[in-house]
Amino acid sequence: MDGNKKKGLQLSEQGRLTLWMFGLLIIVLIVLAIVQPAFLTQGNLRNVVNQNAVLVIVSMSVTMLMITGNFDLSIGGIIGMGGVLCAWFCQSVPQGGAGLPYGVAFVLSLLACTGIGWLNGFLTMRLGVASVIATLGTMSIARGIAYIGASGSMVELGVPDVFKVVGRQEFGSFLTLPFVIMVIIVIAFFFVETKTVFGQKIYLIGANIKAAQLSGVKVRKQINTLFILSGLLSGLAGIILASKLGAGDCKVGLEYEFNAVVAIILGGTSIAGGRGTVIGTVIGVFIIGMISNTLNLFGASTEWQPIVKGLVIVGAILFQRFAMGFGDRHKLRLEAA
Amino acid sequence: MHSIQGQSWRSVVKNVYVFGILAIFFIVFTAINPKFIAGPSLSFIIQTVAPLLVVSLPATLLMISGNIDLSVGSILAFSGVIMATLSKGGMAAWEAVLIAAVLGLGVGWINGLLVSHLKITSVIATLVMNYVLLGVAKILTGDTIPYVKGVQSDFNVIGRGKVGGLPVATFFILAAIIIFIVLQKKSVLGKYSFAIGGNRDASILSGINAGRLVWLLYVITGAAAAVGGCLSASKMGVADATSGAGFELDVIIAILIGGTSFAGGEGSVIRSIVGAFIVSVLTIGLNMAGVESFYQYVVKGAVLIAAVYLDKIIKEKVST
Amino acid sequence: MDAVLQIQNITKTYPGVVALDDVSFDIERGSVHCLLGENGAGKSTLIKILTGAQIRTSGAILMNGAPIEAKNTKEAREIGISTLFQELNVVDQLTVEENLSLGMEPTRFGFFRKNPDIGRMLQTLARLEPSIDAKQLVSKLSVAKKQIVEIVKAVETKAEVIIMDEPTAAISEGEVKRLFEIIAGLKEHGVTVIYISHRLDEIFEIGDYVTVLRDGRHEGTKKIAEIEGREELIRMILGKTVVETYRPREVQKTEKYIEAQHITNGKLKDVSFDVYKGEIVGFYGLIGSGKTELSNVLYGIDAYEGALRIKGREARFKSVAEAVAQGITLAPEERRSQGLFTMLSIRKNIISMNMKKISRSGIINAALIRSVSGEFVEKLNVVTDTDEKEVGFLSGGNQQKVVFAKCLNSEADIFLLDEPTRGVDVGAKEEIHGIIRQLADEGRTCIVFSSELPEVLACCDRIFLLHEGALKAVMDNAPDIDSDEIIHIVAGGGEA
Repeated sequence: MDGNKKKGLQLSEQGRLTLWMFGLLIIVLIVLAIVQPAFLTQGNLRNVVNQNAVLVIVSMSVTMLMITGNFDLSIGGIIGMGGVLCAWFCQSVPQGGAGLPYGVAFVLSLLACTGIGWLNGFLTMRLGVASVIATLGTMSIARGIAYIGASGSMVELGVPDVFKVVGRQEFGSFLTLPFVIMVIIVIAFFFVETKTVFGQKIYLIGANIKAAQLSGVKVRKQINTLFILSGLLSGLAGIILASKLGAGDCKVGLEYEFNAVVAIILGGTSIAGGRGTVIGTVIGVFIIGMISNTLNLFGASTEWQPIVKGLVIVGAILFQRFAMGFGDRHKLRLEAA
Repeated sequence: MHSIQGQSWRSVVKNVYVFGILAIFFIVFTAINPKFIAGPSLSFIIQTVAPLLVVSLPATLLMISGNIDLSVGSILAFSGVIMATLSKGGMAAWEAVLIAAVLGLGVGWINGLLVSHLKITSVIATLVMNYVLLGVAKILTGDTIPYVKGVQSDFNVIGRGKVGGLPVATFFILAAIIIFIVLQKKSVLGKYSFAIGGNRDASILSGINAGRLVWLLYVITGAAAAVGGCLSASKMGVADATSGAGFELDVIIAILIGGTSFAGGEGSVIRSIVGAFIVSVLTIGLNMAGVESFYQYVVKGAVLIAAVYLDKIIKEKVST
Repeated sequence: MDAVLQIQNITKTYPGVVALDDVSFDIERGSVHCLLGENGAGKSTLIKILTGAQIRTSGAILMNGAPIEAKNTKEAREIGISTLFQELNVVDQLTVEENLSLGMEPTRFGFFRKNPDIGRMLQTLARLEPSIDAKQLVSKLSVAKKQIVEIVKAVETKAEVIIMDEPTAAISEGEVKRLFEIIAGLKEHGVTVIYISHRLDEIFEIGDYVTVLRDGRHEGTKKIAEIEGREELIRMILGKTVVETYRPREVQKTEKYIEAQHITNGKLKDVSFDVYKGEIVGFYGLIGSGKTELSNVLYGIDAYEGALRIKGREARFKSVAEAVAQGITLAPEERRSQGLFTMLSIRKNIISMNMKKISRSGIINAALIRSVSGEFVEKLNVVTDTDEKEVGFLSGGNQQKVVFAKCLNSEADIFLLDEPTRGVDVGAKEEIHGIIRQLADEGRTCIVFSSELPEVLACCDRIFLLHEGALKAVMDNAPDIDSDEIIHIVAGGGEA
């Protein structure tokens, strides 16, 4: 019917959504700059960009999991575990640590976190446990390991200086290493999502898992891989956060599963699966990050943030529903045709 | 006829195994530390299990209807803070509990609004509520934990007090057990929870207002979580905004270990009672065995996964 | 005529489209009124309006002479119009008795009271189907028995009109007979049945009246007794005469593509057969005869004992992916829920089975995707303006073509086609049979699993008859094949 007219600007639904999100990001940016002049200063923007890098990193694989219709609630626990384990592995022996070289500690803690991710995949895909329940269980396990490793507080003394590099290294006056890592990971995930067979299969699974199976997609392997990636990235995030802090704190990473879900949904990923983009999630993280930052500038206590986020997420879901509503009416017309 | 037996066999097996697990835990903990059998007086177990049990039972009905409430931990902490604050202000404990329960009911109402009316997946809606309410509780307490010991003498009564030699918490437990067993067996709410969890479309077509019933279940769960919060705060003698962390895990373990299906349509309030006792015995037993509390996270995570896996095995072995 | 329902000048328009155009006809009390038409002819829109799922644009519906206005299925049920949907509305986890009274239990303050009606319900159930135990869980019942539970519930809610939407789509022939007896019983009690089916034979068997819709318009309402055979009905539905008969094909039986020897598992009993390159074979049998199980074995879903050779090589698939890699592909029975990604574009559906073809070392090539998709859309004549349209928007026949395109793209040479034309209208059916023949002519092997004898007779070269998991007979197809003999065999009546 109107197919020819559309030829001028060929944009998929995903593309349109991302464009919308980008527009929203800019609007939020402008509004915040107007209501709070301190927002646009270079120092503040630097904070916003760098503070949210870690959340972006963990949200990447979680976005893909959500597109396949799975949750990962364990990321917060894994973040805590990754940081504590890395610190403990390289902490000097007299201080109670394992005294391993930093590189070994880094790799070992990532391996442990990947192991939790593997366990998530095993529980959901092999044993058929709902992903919510499985990852709630592993969240507790990972957090427990963090508590045990840090004896309920922090691994701080006797940690080598190199431990603090990943989180604190700066390039020029604006960029930090975590941000650079984030950019690399986002590019990698964007590439995987849009340009690879792996990415296509994620959408197939989200759209119809049964049909994907019958089309020869190795669903189990695919989702397992995502859970493992999720464990790996959460571990990396944990190490970065611990490095920033200069210590492995067992309480780090609380609320990350909540923050990730807020950003992912705000970024246009459907809670029912099948739709979503990693770029949308990046934008979602920064919108939330900017709003939180402005609240801070106004002197609101951090406790207000979850309340604002709660409102934002409910608003985002309703907005998506509203936007989809147009789509449904469109669909109805075509079905009748 | 054969198939009917298959079904009841499954519930017989489930009943046997929940009690079996409880017995095993008792034996293991006694073996580790012989004081266990004598040590925690029955009153102590009752006081510990009370908040968990009071919340687990309505949450069981909710899960049977195919929904979950991840916000119970924050409701628990929030209502504890409310009760403590009111009590500090000189209010009698009973009135404070009542007000906390009404607020919890309100939180449940919002959960129901999000899930039933705005049709947001229950995991997401209640996860959000969990953190929102945690924020509210933290705002209320500020940086200080409102210690209330000695401020209002009856603050500790419902959690620790005794009437005629029986802990006051016993009455809460008994009331919850009676209310929710009767609700499950005899009421529209109970029977329809199974129907909604089993086949939502068919239930709606049969004239059941599924949305409103689920909403009501959230309201009840919210109120129950608030009462649980008062029991818990009163027992501890302290209300802390973060005291609800991990509570939702305990509730879910208690429900799932009782063989209620996460997918809905199947389950039992009675087995959740046993499930709640299992979780409490586990907690007390680990404490008495000298296991640091950090390890409990790991143990509970493992128990949750084991419970779900066990249930799956039973389903496969017995139903065919 | 004593009309229970009068449909008067019903028009339903969507923006830009007229789905129903001034449709009027009466439905007689206590009759079986069949509703026919191609997909998109307006049948489902009319049903949705009758059941309150959609609101008409203009016109009126009169029940017993009075206008009715149902806003949803529940209200329609209260007025006396019950519907048996294809997705059955029973709660598996409750017992038969609980299902019967669900939603209608007398209560006081939210608690149940004794139900005075339950005795009567159980009597009705016992009359219609004595073999159903009221204390049994519904999950243990067959589809046909679940339907009966729904019918009992409808009757007991004083339904005057029961709409049955393709009730025989998923039940065996014996159960169809039982269902027809029950429908006859309903008529005696003055209940009216609106019966929708794509199977013309059934309509001649139980219908009193037939109404045909075409392109949203009322083509005509006639007494079945006055219809002169299938061809007249098909003419009404299509507006032209089409009757499919088997056209014999030349098959060089040189290369064996499938050699199955003593395939046995929980459902299959010692099934052995060979299929040649370029052949179309049909597996025909009732529900439960082992058709689906056999296709599951060939596609690597189910385990089995025995030997299976594919294109001369020993095969023991551990997963679907392995079967696909060996050149086997499946067009599943449930198109929407198993065959397609309805929320994705035609293009993405077509490439889904063979990502290797459009990628190099895991990286996809967008230009290649476009050309591959375009090629198959053209080859299979998928009617669409762009291949970026969501598959959910297509008609049933076009959706099935997309499934075929997807299978073709997998470059398979063995096609497993499970109920290839279920829910597809008459015109598209023939087109799909044509595609199957074309596939075979190009040297591929097609295995059709069907519960519709006319379909097997129309397009298969050899017909394998299954009964209770065993292969009972193999017949070479011919235009004058004895279909009574086939029915005799698949019903368990011995070897040919």
